[in-house]
Amino acid sequence: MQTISADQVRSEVRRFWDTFKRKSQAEFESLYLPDATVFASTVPRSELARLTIARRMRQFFGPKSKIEIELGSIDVQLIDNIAIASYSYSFRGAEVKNDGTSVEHEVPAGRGTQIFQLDDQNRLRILHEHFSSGEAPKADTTVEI
Amino acid sequence: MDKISPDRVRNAVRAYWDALAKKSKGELADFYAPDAIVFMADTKRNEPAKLMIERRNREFFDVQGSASAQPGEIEVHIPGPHVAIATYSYHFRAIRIRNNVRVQIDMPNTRATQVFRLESDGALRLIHEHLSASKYPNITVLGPEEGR
Repeated sequence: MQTISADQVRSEVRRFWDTFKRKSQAEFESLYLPDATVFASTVPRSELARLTIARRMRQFFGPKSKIEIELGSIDVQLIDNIAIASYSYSFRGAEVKNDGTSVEHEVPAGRGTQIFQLDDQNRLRILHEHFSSGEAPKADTTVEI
Repeated sequence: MDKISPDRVRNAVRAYWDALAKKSKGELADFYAPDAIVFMADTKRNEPAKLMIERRNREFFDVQGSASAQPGEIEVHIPGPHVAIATYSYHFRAIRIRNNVRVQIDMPNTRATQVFRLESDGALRLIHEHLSASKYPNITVLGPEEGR
């Protein structure tokens, strides 16, 4: 079995946000295992990652939508064939809808846990993700990601 | 050594919240591996579990107050022989003293990711925990601290 290194996991976290920023749909989908689950920041229950991915694409992958992200230091824990990355982040997203209206997503104190597992091709993919906000939303914004 | 099973993990989750409700300081601390990392629901960053345990002892166990949680359905994933991931929503209620005033905190939409590791002594211990609220809590002032 291939072993996982902490640096490999940190690179994967950066690749996740870079893919999100570049709006690369197929690559974004491929970051998750087919049965992955997600706690999105404002959703009360965990959901299948494919629902989260579809929502994020609708909100942030449109031609006028954009995101900015700053990552804090990434802690990595390794057990068996999985790796747990946990980190703080600051996120700003402008969701521009088809009718031209926009929604501001501002998460200055974001908190992320991403659990990666090696797949059959020894690629790290997300098995579970938990995003949350350490602060209440500012007026006229949402902390949803 | 007992293997990990979904029922064993569910029982560990329930025992964890029972220990909190009983204010069993030692029992709750023993759930965490020495190298555990946690995100508590009310912090901005992750931290070593041992720091959180010291704070919880100071701010919750050593003063008046109570806490309880009702977990919903607990999903368990066992990706390896020594690791299990529990995910669930829960309803958290607590009574705390803030600035000499008793306040009731009600958080119906709280979420948990808890990663357990099977230790060499056969115990299941938390290696990672992420607790968070999807909505901000309802806080009700109950009155002055008892005895004041």
